[in-house]
Amino acid sequence: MKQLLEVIDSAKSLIDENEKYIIFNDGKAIDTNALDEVEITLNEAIDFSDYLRKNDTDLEKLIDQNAKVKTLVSIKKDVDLKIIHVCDDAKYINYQIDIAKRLNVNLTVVYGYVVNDAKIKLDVLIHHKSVVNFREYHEFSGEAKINTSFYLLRFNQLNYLSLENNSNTNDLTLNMYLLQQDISLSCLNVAINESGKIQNQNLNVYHLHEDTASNFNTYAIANNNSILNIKNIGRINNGCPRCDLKQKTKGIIVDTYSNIEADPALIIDENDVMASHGASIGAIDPEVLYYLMSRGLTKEASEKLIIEAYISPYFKDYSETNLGKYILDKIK
Amino acid sequence: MRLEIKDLHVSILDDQSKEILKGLSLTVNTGEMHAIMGPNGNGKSTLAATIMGNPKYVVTSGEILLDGKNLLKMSVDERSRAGIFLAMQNPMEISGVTNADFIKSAMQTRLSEGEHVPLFKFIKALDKSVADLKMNPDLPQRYINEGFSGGEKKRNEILQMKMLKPHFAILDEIDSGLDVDALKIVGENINNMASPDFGSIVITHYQRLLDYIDVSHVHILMDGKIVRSGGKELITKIDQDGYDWLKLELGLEDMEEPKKAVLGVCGAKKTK
Repeated sequence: MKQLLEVIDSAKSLIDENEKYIIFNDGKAIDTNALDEVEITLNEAIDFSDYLRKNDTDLEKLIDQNAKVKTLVSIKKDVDLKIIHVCDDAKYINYQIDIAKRLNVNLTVVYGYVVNDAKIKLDVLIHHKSVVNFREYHEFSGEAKINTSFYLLRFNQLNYLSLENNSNTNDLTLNMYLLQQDISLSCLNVAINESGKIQNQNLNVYHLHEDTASNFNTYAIANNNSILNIKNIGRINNGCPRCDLKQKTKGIIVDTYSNIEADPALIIDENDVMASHGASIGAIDPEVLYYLMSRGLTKEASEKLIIEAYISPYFKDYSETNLGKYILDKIK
Repeated sequence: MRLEIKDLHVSILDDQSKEILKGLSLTVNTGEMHAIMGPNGNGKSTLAATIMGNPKYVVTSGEILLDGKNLLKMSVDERSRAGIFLAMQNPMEISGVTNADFIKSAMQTRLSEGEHVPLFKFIKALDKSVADLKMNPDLPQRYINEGFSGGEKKRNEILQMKMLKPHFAILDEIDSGLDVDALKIVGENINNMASPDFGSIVITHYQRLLDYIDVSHVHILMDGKIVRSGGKELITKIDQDGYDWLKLELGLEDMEEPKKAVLGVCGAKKTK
């Protein structure tokens, strides 16, 4: 119990002054100051099947059957909100975030201390004409499987930023469902694997309606004999013309025995669309290293600077927040 | 201080059978500005890269001494901190690192442990150097060379040089990509660096940069060696007559790879 209280205290240190927050323990909200903007309901999940033509994975089924707590967070007003998860007991967490229409929402979700072998499923439904900046930070010490799905309705704009810095084997699945017209999705996913173990990422973008646009960038770093497998699928369904889909994966392998495998795939079933993808994985560019060293920086300082620069888009306008400082400190 | 290059032989790492510098010797003291001129492909940039320690090149024999200390035993960063600066022909673009942060980090490496670059002084000096070079005031806050024009990249190299205050600067074709006005600004800024503590080697093909830099020594590098040294009169001679007279005098063949002509059939019309 004492340990849990310490974990919760450290979670609170990530919250900035006057910031709205919810702290979850094992899927239950235990502390919040956002009840004016947010409604939290236990065991009352939304059925997303109305919005979706296709979705189901084994993990989802598993979680649905076994989830100890199903929590619905309904966001009713414009808000800057931080959600922090601390899981010391529950292995199966299923929760949902429902963002009402015509809102401007900045949402940060942090997975801090999570019990070994945890399975977490998050579904986010964004109603029409809302602009959402959604930032995630994962720091799992134990093995974990996490499945996040976004369901986007018409005239949505979602800017999604994610950073994974986990110290164990992890499977991450991210699904972006662009369900109606005029949706703009921008994703930046930073994956750092220094765990010495294998981490898998399945990153899927589904264009299920005409006139939708997505731009998905992944920046990966593997160090300390670690393996990162990144599977990136972009799909444009038949009957969805004028879609614009872009995917890019860049990876830096820092040491000799680490590896990053990128597997980008486009499944295009419509003619009048634009789609592009690419992946480049390699060691730190020796020319860049030479350039920095020629100004007096040591090899180690140069490598550090290059890696910091590589992940800097995640911290744009964020490095001065408590969480931003915490993450930067962790990575250093 | 003195930079001495003695009988330097250099090959490319990937093809060590190909010798580029073939016994080059040169001495530069602080307070002097040397120009090295010469035709393409004769080793001018290789000399610059070798002094800086570019790992693409291998020194097979000879030595480079900085005030008697063996520069070849130093890593690239140690050479920089010892006072060598190379303004590169093709400066790298590095996204995510601002110019200001980079320059400050580089300056920090020159200080002892516990010492810090005074922020106010740094900003003041940086702003002044940016103004001297007539650069865009927002340039220090932009990522290193990202989205810069060719001329901006070259000015950025000079900006770094002005801030780091090296003992010896090697300027490798700093004039390429510069328009007439920019050339004048860069030339004047290099000239203004002249002091008893600063020496430079200006590598160029053309006289035009040397119109603005008051060089004390001129050398011609051909076939991997300094083949002629003199004063400014050499610049005028090269500008008027090119290098052919010297090739003839020294009995050198053209070092540039002959261009292969390929005859294709595409678009050719068969005539009766």
